[in-house]
Amino acid sequence: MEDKTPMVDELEKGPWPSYVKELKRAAKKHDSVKDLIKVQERSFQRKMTQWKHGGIVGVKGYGGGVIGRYVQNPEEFPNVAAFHTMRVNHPSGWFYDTKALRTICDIWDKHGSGMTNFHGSTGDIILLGCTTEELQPTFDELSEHGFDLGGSGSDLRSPTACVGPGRCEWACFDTLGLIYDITKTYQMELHRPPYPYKTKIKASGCPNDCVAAIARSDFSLIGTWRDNLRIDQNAVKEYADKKFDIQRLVVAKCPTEAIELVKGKLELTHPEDCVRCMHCINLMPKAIRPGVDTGATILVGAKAPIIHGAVLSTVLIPFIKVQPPYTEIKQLWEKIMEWWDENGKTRERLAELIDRMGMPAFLKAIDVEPCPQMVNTPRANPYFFWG
Amino acid sequence: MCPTDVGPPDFKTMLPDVIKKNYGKWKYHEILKPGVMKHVAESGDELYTVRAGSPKLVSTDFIRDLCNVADKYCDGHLRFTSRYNPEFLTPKKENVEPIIKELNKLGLPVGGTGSGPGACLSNVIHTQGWIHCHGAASDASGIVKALMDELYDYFVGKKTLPAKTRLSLACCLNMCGAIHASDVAVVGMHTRIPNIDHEKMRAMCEIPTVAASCPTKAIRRHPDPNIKSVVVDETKCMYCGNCFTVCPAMPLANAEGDGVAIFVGGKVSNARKPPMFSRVVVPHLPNNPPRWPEVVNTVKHIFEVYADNARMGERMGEWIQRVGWERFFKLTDLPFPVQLIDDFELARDTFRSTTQFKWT
Amino acid sequence: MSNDEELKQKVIEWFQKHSKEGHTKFYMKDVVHDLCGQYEKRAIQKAMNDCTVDGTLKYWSTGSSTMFCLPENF
Repeated sequence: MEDKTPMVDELEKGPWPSYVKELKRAAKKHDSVKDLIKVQERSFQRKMTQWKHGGIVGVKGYGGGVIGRYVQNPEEFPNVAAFHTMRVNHPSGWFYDTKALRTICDIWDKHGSGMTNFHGSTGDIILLGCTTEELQPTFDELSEHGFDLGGSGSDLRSPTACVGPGRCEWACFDTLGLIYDITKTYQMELHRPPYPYKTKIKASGCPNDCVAAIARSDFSLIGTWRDNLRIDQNAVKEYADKKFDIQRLVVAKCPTEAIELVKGKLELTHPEDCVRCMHCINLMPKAIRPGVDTGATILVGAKAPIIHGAVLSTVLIPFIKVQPPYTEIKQLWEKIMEWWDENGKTRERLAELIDRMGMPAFLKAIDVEPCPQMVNTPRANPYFFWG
Repeated sequence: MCPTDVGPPDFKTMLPDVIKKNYGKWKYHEILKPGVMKHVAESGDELYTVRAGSPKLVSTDFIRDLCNVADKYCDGHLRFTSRYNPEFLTPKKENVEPIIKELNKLGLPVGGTGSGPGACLSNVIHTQGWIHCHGAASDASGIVKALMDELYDYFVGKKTLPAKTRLSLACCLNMCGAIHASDVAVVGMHTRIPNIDHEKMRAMCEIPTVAASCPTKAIRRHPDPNIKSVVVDETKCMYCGNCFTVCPAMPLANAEGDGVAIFVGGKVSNARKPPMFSRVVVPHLPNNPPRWPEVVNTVKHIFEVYADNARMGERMGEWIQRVGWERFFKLTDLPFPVQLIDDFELARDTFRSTTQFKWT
Repeated sequence: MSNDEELKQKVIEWFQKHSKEGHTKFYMKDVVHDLCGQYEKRAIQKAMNDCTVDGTLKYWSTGSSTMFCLPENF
């Protein structure tokens, strides 16, 4: 009776690829996943999680990268009594060769449950379900093969980048190169949690922001440009010939009315009004491209709801050139971390600290001059300070 | 001892030749059909991408399946998107159809591309849920599977959307994965205060840390000094679970109380309108495994109303801004309970201080 | 005793002094705050990390927040 899992089995049906099918594949090799399926059935029956957490970190010399996880009823589900998560840092842009992937798979089948996430929310490869004893051997073997753990706890979480110049014509800087450099430079901060709480760095090559930097990274780099859109009129004509409604879908939807159709030509008639939103480029990628004087806008503070509600990053540096060795960017980040580490309370993210201490105090501490690009509007209240 | 701090492998060693050659020199791209893109470089080189759907929670054999396809058609290279979609990259156009065929044989749909009119739905960003999380107020993989079975046609492009639509799910309000800026977000929610285990509290938790973790100061030391534990002020607790994160003796899970809320209209991209938060439109739906019919039907309904009413190219949040939230509730026929009116910090920013509104 | 060893000793003494029933796990900040008058912040942080390698301190993590404790209080 106990071994039947009708509710979980139900999710093997249907057109979308099934995680239950995946669980059952892994269960053929791993007893832990047989128990995992039963645990999932139990949580469906009881409408509650069956897991508890604990303090384990696990790998010698590291304070992050492993999340402790224990089942609530180990006597019933002994094979998942300890079923920890390992976060493995991904290559920038999530590019792989099959040799590397097969290596990870073999290591994980040898030491763990054979279940993974490709990838977790932050971007790490998630190895889901490791006993306490196998944590170190798994790490040792991963490390021998050139892999390392990602972040967890009060540290720098694994930085992530969009596909960038790897495959995207809109990449305004080398997101992959920057993020790889940053990840390598700050290994200490990534593995040995030194901060009041987690902190994130993400880089998107253009304002479409495919890694959601503006929504979830304390330090967000988003590609942009200082000159004008590049428009190829022959390609514009191609779109028009194909009955693509440029006027309705592109011109009328330009948020600042910067672009117009003039005698069949698409022209940036008010270049000073263009806010580089990407809309026209997104809809006519063959005809319109970002400018050539490219770099990034640096924004700070994004975070999910815990504790004082979700925050989107806000502009700190309107434009910066992004070129190796990225010294200016790294120095700025270090200054910000220093201020946050010095003043932040435990479990207080950067945005919450800025809100508590005031943006002017933050700007002063990190030595950044105020500019109108930082705000939607100046303040409306008369309560400002001097001195 | 093995080496530490080696960091991740250098991405440059993982790139296919066509990318190494044309790195940073791409000119434009086209979407040839749902799930298939062609990127053209300044050099004239072409790169074809086939994007597949994935359940995110997968076995090592699933990854090996992907590797087999990549070995056969992509010189052993592949990548994943920020939304977990595997992508197969090849300079050879003639490889596209065979890749699709192989993927379909594996049970994997091809689709999920596009941002403008006619866009497909991409993979659902989601968290761990009951499969592995101690704080989950709902499942993740289970609901996502139930949702995507119903929304499948939007992924493969049999049904299309007015613009890019991002569906995300978090199993609690920690919202791992930036789901707070999604077109539609499903969020696991507790509705009961922590069920304090005084025994465990004594053994596993530290009262100062627990009390300090509460953002609304609802937690204080137990009035009876003999009980080394805490009490929770029911009028102040907002079920955020921050205390449970630091102390396992404060679980919030409750079979009757737990469920999900639905948030809509957020986005991350700066395209056209600036990024915006998703807003709560349904404060609570029950956990009803394995197929969560209430959740699936509500999300599907919102998709349909959006597809029927938005103008071409309008993201969900842009559409709602144009027609107004009052029209959104009218069009979707969703009720407007008091929980939708903000009473947290910055609530006033959400109140309407104009006589301009629409009748519904 | 080298400076490094001396600082590690101070760190352990700090934990012995502050650990009591019901409060044994501390944030890095707590320790840095108390010792930073005498030592550099980075040196204290390094000493704490070194202690975890020696096994005289242990990391304790909720997954989102990281603390330190003496091994007997893990």
